[in-house]
Amino acid sequence: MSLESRFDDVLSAATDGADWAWEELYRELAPGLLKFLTGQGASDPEDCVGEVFVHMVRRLGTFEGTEAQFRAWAFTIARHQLIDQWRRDKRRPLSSDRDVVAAADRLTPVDPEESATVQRAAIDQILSGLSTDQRSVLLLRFLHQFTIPETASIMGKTEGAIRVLQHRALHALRRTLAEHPDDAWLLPAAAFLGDSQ
Amino acid sequence: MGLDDTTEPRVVARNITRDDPTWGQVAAFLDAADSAYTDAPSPTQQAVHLAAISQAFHDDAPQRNKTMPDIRSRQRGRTALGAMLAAFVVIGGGVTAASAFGGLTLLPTQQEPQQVPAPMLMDSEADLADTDTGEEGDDADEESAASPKPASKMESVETHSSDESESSDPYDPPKQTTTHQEDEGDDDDDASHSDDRDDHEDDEDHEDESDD
Repeated sequence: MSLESRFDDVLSAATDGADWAWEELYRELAPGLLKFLTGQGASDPEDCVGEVFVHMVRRLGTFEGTEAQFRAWAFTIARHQLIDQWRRDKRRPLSSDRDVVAAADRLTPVDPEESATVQRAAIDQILSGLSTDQRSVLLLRFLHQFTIPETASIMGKTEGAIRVLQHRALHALRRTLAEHPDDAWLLPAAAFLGDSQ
Repeated sequence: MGLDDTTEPRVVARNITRDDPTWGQVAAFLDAADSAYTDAPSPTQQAVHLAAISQAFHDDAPQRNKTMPDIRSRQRGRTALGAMLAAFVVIGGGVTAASAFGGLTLLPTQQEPQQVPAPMLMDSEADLADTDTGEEGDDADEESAASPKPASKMESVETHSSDESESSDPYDPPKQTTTHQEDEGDDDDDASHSDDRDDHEDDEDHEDESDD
Protein backbone atom coordinates (compact mmCIF):
# COMPACT_ATOMS: atom_id res chain seq x y z
CA MET A 1 0.00 0.00 0.00
CA SER A 2 1.50 3.29 -1.00
CA LEU A 3 -0.87 6.08 -0.10
CA GLU A 4 1.62 7.19 2.55
CA SER A 5 1.20 10.90 3.24
CA ARG A 6 -2.16 10.97 1.48
CA PHE A 7 -3.64 8.19 3.54
CA ASP A 8 -5.30 10.41 6.14
CA ASP A 9 -6.93 12.55 3.47
CA VAL A 10 -8.11 9.53 1.53
CA LEU A 11 -9.45 7.90 4.67
CA SER A 12 -11.27 11.04 5.69
CA ALA A 13 -12.82 11.35 2.25
CA ALA A 14 -13.80 7.69 2.26
CA THR A 15 -15.52 8.19 5.61
CA ASP A 16 -17.55 10.92 3.94
CA GLY A 17 -18.41 8.55 1.11
CA ALA A 18 -16.26 9.99 -1.63
CA ASP A 19 -16.20 7.52 -4.50
CA TRP A 20 -12.72 8.54 -5.57
CA ALA A 21 -11.39 7.74 -2.12
CA TRP A 22 -12.90 4.29 -2.09
CA GLU A 23 -11.53 3.67 -5.56
CA GLU A 24 -8.06 4.50 -4.31
CA LEU A 25 -8.42 2.27 -1.29
CA TYR A 26 -9.76 -0.47 -3.50
CA ARG A 27 -6.88 -0.18 -5.96
CA GLU A 28 -4.40 -0.37 -3.14
CA LEU A 29 -5.92 -3.25 -1.23
CA ALA A 30 -7.89 -5.40 -3.64
CA PRO A 31 -5.00 -7.11 -5.45
CA GLY A 32 -3.32 -8.12 -2.22
CA LEU A 33 -6.58 -9.31 -0.73
CA LEU A 34 -7.37 -11.34 -3.81
CA LYS A 35 -3.90 -12.82 -3.75
CA PHE A 36 -4.28 -13.79 -0.13
CA LEU A 37 -7.72 -15.30 -0.56
CA THR A 38 -6.69 -17.20 -3.67
CA GLY A 39 -3.62 -18.51 -1.93
CA GLN A 40 -5.80 -19.70 0.92
CA GLY A 41 -7.96 -21.70 -1.42
CA ALA A 42 -11.10 -19.62 -1.23
CA SER A 43 -13.80 -21.01 -3.48
CA ASP A 44 -14.86 -17.52 -4.57
CA PRO A 45 -12.05 -15.12 -3.76
CA GLU A 46 -13.43 -12.24 -5.79
CA ASP A 47 -16.72 -12.40 -3.95
CA CYS A 48 -14.82 -12.38 -0.68
CA VAL A 49 -12.95 -9.26 -1.74
CA GLY A 50 -16.23 -7.49 -2.34
CA GLU A 51 -17.52 -8.56 1.05
CA VAL A 52 -14.36 -7.30 2.72
CA PHE A 53 -14.93 -3.81 1.38
CA VAL A 54 -18.59 -3.82 2.33
CA HIS A 55 -17.64 -4.67 5.90
CA MET A 56 -15.04 -1.92 5.87
CA VAL A 57 -17.59 0.59 4.66
CA ARG A 58 -19.86 -0.25 7.56
CA ARG A 59 -17.15 0.10 10.16
CA LEU A 60 -14.87 2.73 8.74
CA GLY A 61 -16.12 5.32 11.20
CA THR A 62 -14.69 3.30 14.07
CA PHE A 63 -11.25 2.89 12.55
CA GLU A 64 -8.34 4.90 13.86
CA GLY A 65 -4.83 4.12 12.90
CA THR A 66 -2.08 4.16 10.37
CA GLU A 67 -2.07 2.91 6.85
CA ALA A 68 -0.34 -0.29 7.93
CA GLN A 69 -3.01 -0.89 10.54
CA PHE A 70 -5.69 -0.25 7.97
CA ARG A 71 -4.18 -2.83 5.69
CA ALA A 72 -3.92 -5.32 8.54
CA TRP A 73 -7.55 -4.68 9.39
CA ALA A 74 -8.56 -5.41 5.79
CA PHE A 75 -6.72 -8.71 5.88
CA THR A 76 -8.30 -9.56 9.21
CA ILE A 77 -11.72 -9.11 7.68
CA ALA A 78 -10.64 -11.14 4.68
CA ARG A 79 -9.56 -14.00 6.88
CA HIS A 80 -12.84 -13.97 8.76
CA GLN A 81 -14.71 -13.94 5.48
CA LEU A 82 -12.65 -16.89 4.34
CA ILE A 83 -13.39 -18.90 7.43
CA ASP A 84 -17.08 -18.10 7.15
CA GLN A 85 -16.97 -19.29 3.58
CA TRP A 86 -15.26 -22.50 4.59
CA ARG A 87 -17.87 -23.14 7.20
CA ARG A 88 -20.58 -22.60 4.65
CA ASP A 89 -18.90 -24.79 2.10
CA LYS A 90 -17.66 -27.31 4.66
CA ARG A 91 -14.63 -27.78 2.56
CA ARG A 92 -11.27 -28.98 3.61
CA PRO A 93 -8.53 -28.27 1.12
CA LEU A 94 -6.27 -30.86 2.69
CA SER A 95 -4.88 -33.31 0.28
CA SER A 96 -2.90 -36.45 0.82
CA ASP A 97 0.53 -37.05 -0.51
CA ARG A 98 -1.03 -38.98 -3.34
CA ASP A 99 -2.80 -35.86 -4.49
CA VAL A 100 0.48 -33.98 -4.56
CA VAL A 101 2.05 -36.67 -6.66
CA ALA A 102 -1.02 -36.86 -8.87
CA ALA A 103 -0.83 -33.14 -9.45
CA ALA A 104 2.74 -33.47 -10.55
CA ASP A 105 1.97 -36.47 -12.71
CA ARG A 106 -0.65 -34.52 -14.58
CA LEU A 107 2.02 -32.26 -15.92
CA THR A 108 2.46 -32.64 -19.61
CA PRO A 109 4.07 -30.31 -22.11
CA VAL A 110 1.27 -27.95 -22.94
CA ASP A 111 0.91 -24.38 -24.09
CA PRO A 112 2.12 -21.70 -21.69
CA GLU A 113 -1.34 -20.67 -20.60
CA GLU A 114 -2.20 -24.15 -19.48
CA SER A 115 1.23 -24.45 -17.88
CA ALA A 116 0.45 -21.52 -15.67
CA THR A 117 -2.76 -23.19 -14.61
CA VAL A 118 -0.93 -26.40 -13.88
CA GLN A 119 1.69 -24.49 -11.94
CA ARG A 120 -0.98 -22.82 -9.85
CA ALA A 121 -2.65 -26.15 -9.21
CA ALA A 122 0.64 -27.71 -8.12
CA ILE A 123 1.34 -24.81 -5.78
CA ASP A 124 -2.15 -25.10 -4.35
CA GLN A 125 -1.68 -28.78 -3.77
CA ILE A 126 1.59 -28.30 -1.93
CA LEU A 127 0.21 -25.50 0.22
CA SER A 128 -2.86 -27.54 1.00
CA GLY A 129 -0.57 -30.02 2.71
CA LEU A 130 0.04 -27.44 5.42
CA SER A 131 -2.41 -26.72 8.16
CA THR A 132 -4.71 -23.79 7.59
CA ASP A 133 -2.91 -21.61 10.09
CA GLN A 134 0.51 -22.54 8.76
CA ARG A 135 -0.63 -21.62 5.30
CA SER A 136 -2.00 -18.31 6.53
CA VAL A 137 1.22 -17.45 8.29
CA LEU A 138 3.29 -18.25 5.23
CA LEU A 139 1.13 -16.14 2.96
CA LEU A 140 0.91 -13.22 5.34
CA ARG A 141 4.56 -13.21 6.34
CA PHE A 142 6.30 -14.11 3.13
CA LEU A 143 4.01 -13.02 0.35
CA HIS A 144 2.46 -9.98 1.97
CA GLN A 145 5.37 -9.11 4.27
CA PHE A 146 3.32 -8.47 7.37
CA THR A 147 5.26 -8.23 10.58
CA ILE A 148 4.86 -10.70 13.42
CA PRO A 149 2.61 -8.36 15.44
CA GLU A 150 0.49 -7.59 12.39
CA THR A 151 0.16 -11.25 11.53
CA ALA A 152 -0.78 -12.01 15.12
CA SER A 153 -3.44 -9.34 14.99
CA ILE A 154 -4.85 -10.62 11.72
CA MET A 155 -5.00 -14.19 12.91
CA GLY A 156 -6.10 -13.43 16.44
CA LYS A 157 -3.15 -15.21 18.00
CA THR A 158 -0.19 -14.31 20.17
CA GLU A 159 3.11 -13.33 18.64
CA GLY A 160 4.71 -16.40 20.12
CA ALA A 161 2.14 -18.61 18.48
CA ILE A 162 2.81 -16.95 15.14
CA ARG A 163 6.54 -17.59 15.50
CA VAL A 164 5.91 -21.24 16.25
CA LEU A 165 3.49 -21.54 13.34
CA GLN A 166 5.98 -19.91 11.02
CA HIS A 167 8.75 -22.22 12.13
CA ARG A 168 6.61 -25.30 11.66
CA ALA A 169 5.26 -24.08 8.35
CA LEU A 170 8.74 -23.65 6.92
CA HIS A 171 9.83 -27.06 8.07
CA ALA A 172 6.66 -28.69 6.79
CA LEU A 173 7.06 -26.98 3.44
CA ARG A 174 10.67 -28.01 3.16
CA ARG A 175 9.74 -31.58 3.98
CA THR A 176 6.93 -31.64 1.43
CA LEU A 177 9.09 -30.23 -1.31
CA ALA A 178 11.86 -32.71 -0.56
CA GLU A 179 9.45 -35.63 -0.64
CA HIS A 180 7.96 -34.59 -3.96
CA PRO A 181 10.74 -33.44 -6.21
CA ASP A 182 8.44 -33.08 -9.18
CA ASP A 183 8.72 -29.36 -9.54
CA ALA A 184 5.49 -28.65 -11.31
CA TRP A 185 5.29 -25.54 -9.23
CA LEU A 186 8.26 -24.08 -11.00
CA LEU A 187 7.74 -21.41 -13.59
CA PRO A 188 5.86 -22.75 -16.57
CA ALA A 189 8.89 -22.61 -18.83
CA ALA A 190 10.92 -24.88 -16.61
CA ALA A 191 8.04 -27.28 -16.20
CA PHE A 192 7.45 -27.34 -19.91
CA LEU A 193 10.98 -28.50 -20.42
CA GLY A 194 10.27 -31.36 -18.03
CA ASP A 195 12.89 -30.26 -15.56
CA SER A 196 12.09 -32.64 -12.78
CA GLN A 197 14.27 -33.97 -9.99
CA MET B 1 19.66 -28.64 9.55
CA GLY B 2 17.01 -26.44 11.11
CA LEU B 3 16.11 -22.84 11.13
CA ASP B 4 18.14 -20.78 13.52
CA ASP B 5 17.78 -17.20 14.63
CA THR B 6 19.86 -15.94 11.75
CA THR B 7 18.45 -18.08 8.98
CA GLU B 8 14.75 -17.61 9.57
CA PRO B 9 14.81 -13.81 9.20
CA ARG B 10 16.65 -14.27 5.92
CA VAL B 11 14.02 -16.70 4.71
CA VAL B 12 11.27 -14.30 5.80
CA ALA B 13 12.94 -11.43 4.00
CA ARG B 14 13.41 -13.71 1.00
CA ASN B 15 17.14 -13.25 1.09
CA ILE B 16 17.83 -16.93 0.60
CA THR B 17 19.12 -17.80 -2.84
CA ARG B 18 17.85 -20.77 -4.74
CA ASP B 19 21.18 -22.50 -4.60
CA ASP B 20 21.10 -22.59 -0.81
CA PRO B 21 21.33 -26.33 -0.07
CA THR B 22 18.89 -26.25 2.83
CA TRP B 23 16.31 -23.57 2.14
CA GLY B 24 16.85 -22.75 -1.49
CA GLN B 25 13.98 -24.91 -2.63
CA VAL B 26 11.64 -23.28 -0.11
CA ALA B 27 12.74 -19.86 -1.28
CA ALA B 28 12.13 -20.85 -4.89
CA PHE B 29 8.70 -22.20 -4.03
CA LEU B 30 7.69 -19.00 -2.24
CA ASP B 31 8.84 -16.98 -5.21
CA ALA B 32 6.79 -19.19 -7.48
CA ALA B 33 3.75 -18.84 -5.24
CA ASP B 34 4.16 -15.08 -5.22
CA SER B 35 4.23 -15.07 -9.01
CA ALA B 36 1.34 -17.48 -9.35
CA TYR B 37 -0.99 -15.54 -7.07
CA THR B 38 -0.77 -12.16 -8.75
CA ASP B 39 -4.33 -11.89 -9.92
CA ALA B 40 -6.01 -8.56 -9.81
CA PRO B 41 -9.78 -8.24 -9.92
CA SER B 42 -11.08 -8.13 -13.46
CA PRO B 43 -12.46 -4.79 -14.66
CA THR B 44 -15.95 -6.22 -14.43
CA GLN B 45 -15.38 -7.33 -10.86
CA GLN B 46 -13.88 -3.98 -9.99
CA ALA B 47 -16.99 -2.23 -11.22
CA VAL B 48 -19.21 -4.61 -9.28
CA HIS B 49 -17.22 -4.13 -6.09
CA LEU B 50 -17.12 -0.36 -6.35
CA ALA B 51 -20.84 -0.27 -6.94
CA ALA B 52 -21.38 -2.47 -3.90
CA ILE B 53 -19.19 -0.16 -1.83
CA SER B 54 -21.19 2.87 -2.86
CA GLN B 55 -24.45 1.09 -2.21
CA ALA B 56 -23.31 -0.13 1.20
CA PHE B 57 -22.27 3.36 2.17
CA HIS B 58 -25.62 4.86 1.37
CA ASP B 59 -27.62 1.97 2.77
CA ASP B 60 -25.78 1.95 6.08
CA ALA B 61 -25.51 5.70 6.63
CA PRO B 62 -27.99 5.79 9.56
CA GLN B 63 -26.29 2.89 11.33
CA ARG B 64 -22.84 4.24 10.65
CA ASN B 65 -23.77 7.48 12.40
CA LYS B 66 -24.42 5.53 15.57
CA THR B 67 -20.94 4.50 16.46
CA MET B 68 -20.44 1.76 19.00
CA PRO B 69 -19.14 4.15 21.70
CA ASP B 70 -22.35 6.21 21.32
CA ILE B 71 -24.54 3.15 21.63
CA ARG B 72 -22.68 1.89 24.65
CA SER B 73 -22.73 5.23 26.40
CA ARG B 74 -26.49 5.42 25.90
CA GLN B 75 -26.87 1.93 27.28
CA ARG B 76 -24.80 2.79 30.29
CA GLY B 77 -26.87 5.91 30.86
CA ARG B 78 -30.11 3.98 30.70
CA THR B 79 -28.76 1.25 32.94
CA ALA B 80 -27.53 3.68 35.56
CA LEU B 81 -30.84 5.51 35.55
CA GLY B 82 -32.70 2.26 35.96
CA ALA B 83 -30.47 1.27 38.84
CA MET B 84 -31.09 4.54 40.62
CA LEU B 85 -34.83 4.24 40.20
CA ALA B 86 -34.78 0.67 41.46
CA ALA B 87 -32.78 1.72 44.49
CA PHE B 88 -35.16 4.51 45.31
CA VAL B 89 -38.14 2.19 44.99
CA VAL B 90 -36.63 -0.36 47.34
CA ILE B 91 -35.46 2.18 49.86
CA GLY B 92 -38.77 3.95 49.68
CA GLY B 93 -40.56 0.66 50.17
CA GLY B 94 -38.40 -0.13 53.14
CA VAL B 95 -39.06 3.21 54.74
CA THR B 96 -42.78 2.83 54.18
CA ALA B 97 -42.76 -0.63 55.71
CA ALA B 98 -40.78 0.59 58.67
CA SER B 99 -43.10 3.48 59.28
CA ALA B 100 -46.13 1.18 58.93
CA PHE B 101 -44.84 -1.06 61.68
CA GLY B 102 -43.96 1.96 63.71
CA GLY B 103 -40.87 2.67 65.77
CA LEU B 104 -38.48 0.70 63.58
CA THR B 105 -35.29 2.15 62.30
CA LEU B 106 -35.59 4.26 59.21
CA LEU B 107 -32.44 2.79 57.71
CA PRO B 108 -33.51 -0.55 56.36
CA THR B 109 -29.99 -1.41 55.34
CA GLN B 110 -29.09 -2.00 58.97
CA GLN B 111 -31.84 -4.50 59.70
CA GLU B 112 -32.72 -5.89 56.32
CA PRO B 113 -29.55 -6.07 54.38
CA GLN B 114 -30.99 -8.65 52.11
CA GLN B 115 -33.50 -6.21 50.69
CA VAL B 116 -30.99 -3.54 49.81
CA PRO B 117 -29.51 -3.90 46.39
CA ALA B 118 -26.16 -2.51 47.53
CA PRO B 119 -24.27 -5.63 46.42
CA MET B 120 -26.06 -5.53 43.12
CA LEU B 121 -24.83 -1.98 42.61
CA MET B 122 -21.31 -3.33 42.48
CA ASP B 123 -22.07 -5.83 39.77
CA SER B 124 -22.00 -5.50 36.04
CA GLU B 125 -24.08 -2.84 34.48
CA ALA B 126 -26.14 -5.18 32.38
CA ASP B 127 -27.39 -7.03 35.43
CA LEU B 128 -28.63 -3.96 37.24
CA ALA B 129 -31.26 -3.26 34.65
CA ASP B 130 -32.86 -6.64 35.20
CA THR B 131 -33.18 -7.49 38.84
CA ASP B 132 -34.96 -10.72 38.01
CA THR B 133 -31.80 -12.29 36.72
CA GLY B 134 -30.61 -12.53 40.26
CA GLU B 135 -27.14 -13.64 40.98
CA GLU B 136 -26.66 -16.44 38.55
CA GLY B 137 -25.62 -14.18 35.72
CA ASP B 138 -23.41 -12.20 38.09
CA ASP B 139 -21.53 -15.29 39.12
CA ALA B 140 -20.96 -16.26 35.52
CA ASP B 141 -19.66 -12.80 34.71
CA GLU B 142 -17.39 -12.79 37.73
CA GLU B 143 -16.04 -16.21 36.93
CA SER B 144 -15.31 -15.34 33.36
CA ALA B 145 -13.70 -12.08 34.37
CA ALA B 146 -11.66 -13.60 37.14
CA SER B 147 -10.30 -16.54 35.30
CA PRO B 148 -10.41 -16.21 31.56
CA LYS B 149 -9.75 -19.54 30.01
CA PRO B 150 -7.33 -19.60 27.13
CA ALA B 151 -9.56 -21.99 25.26
CA SER B 152 -12.59 -19.76 25.54
CA LYS B 153 -10.51 -16.78 24.63
CA MET B 154 -9.31 -18.51 21.47
CA GLU B 155 -12.81 -19.65 20.73
CA SER B 156 -14.07 -16.14 21.11
CA VAL B 157 -11.37 -14.99 18.72
CA GLU B 158 -12.31 -17.63 16.24
CA THR B 159 -16.08 -17.09 16.34
CA HIS B 160 -17.00 -15.09 13.33
CA SER B 161 -19.75 -13.01 11.94
CA SER B 162 -22.40 -15.68 12.00
CA ASP B 163 -21.72 -16.50 15.64
CA GLU B 164 -20.96 -13.11 17.11
CA SER B 165 -23.08 -11.47 19.77
CA GLU B 166 -23.33 -7.75 20.26
CA SER B 167 -20.14 -7.15 22.23
CA SER B 168 -17.26 -8.52 20.11
CA ASP B 169 -17.51 -8.07 16.38
CA PRO B 170 -14.55 -9.69 14.63
CA TYR B 171 -14.94 -7.25 11.77
CA ASP B 172 -14.45 -4.21 13.97
CA PRO B 173 -11.07 -2.53 13.73
CA PRO B 174 -8.64 -3.83 16.32
CA LYS B 175 -7.90 -1.62 19.27
CA GLN B 176 -4.71 0.34 18.87
CA THR B 177 -3.17 -0.68 22.17
CA THR B 178 -3.03 -4.42 22.08
CA THR B 179 -0.63 -6.44 24.10
CA HIS B 180 0.51 -9.74 22.78
CA GLN B 181 1.93 -12.10 25.31
CA GLU B 182 4.47 -14.43 23.94
CA ASP B 183 3.47 -17.95 24.58
CA GLU B 184 4.88 -20.58 22.35
CA GLY B 185 2.62 -23.13 23.92
CA ASP B 186 -0.38 -21.45 22.40
CA ASP B 187 0.27 -22.96 19.05
CA ASP B 188 -1.21 -26.27 19.98
CA ASP B 189 -4.26 -24.59 21.41
CA ASP B 190 -4.42 -22.26 18.46
CA ALA B 191 -4.25 -25.13 16.05
CA SER B 192 -6.94 -27.06 17.84
CA HIS B 193 -9.31 -24.17 18.45
CA SER B 194 -9.00 -22.36 15.17
CA ASP B 195 -11.42 -22.92 12.37
CA ASP B 196 -13.11 -26.22 11.78
CA ARG B 197 -10.69 -27.29 9.10
CA ASP B 198 -7.80 -27.81 11.46
CA ASP B 199 -9.24 -30.67 13.42
CA HIS B 200 -7.23 -33.39 11.92
CA GLU B 201 -4.48 -31.15 10.80
CA ASP B 202 -3.41 -31.00 14.45
CA ASP B 203 -2.48 -34.63 14.27
CA GLU B 204 -0.21 -33.89 11.39
CA ASP B 205 1.34 -30.99 13.24
CA HIS B 206 2.06 -33.16 16.25
CA GLU B 207 3.50 -35.83 14.04
CA ASP B 208 5.65 -33.27 12.33
CA GLU B 209 6.98 -32.02 15.62
CA SER B 210 8.81 -35.25 16.19
CA ASP B 211 10.70 -34.76 12.98
CA ASP B 212 12.00 -31.43 14.16
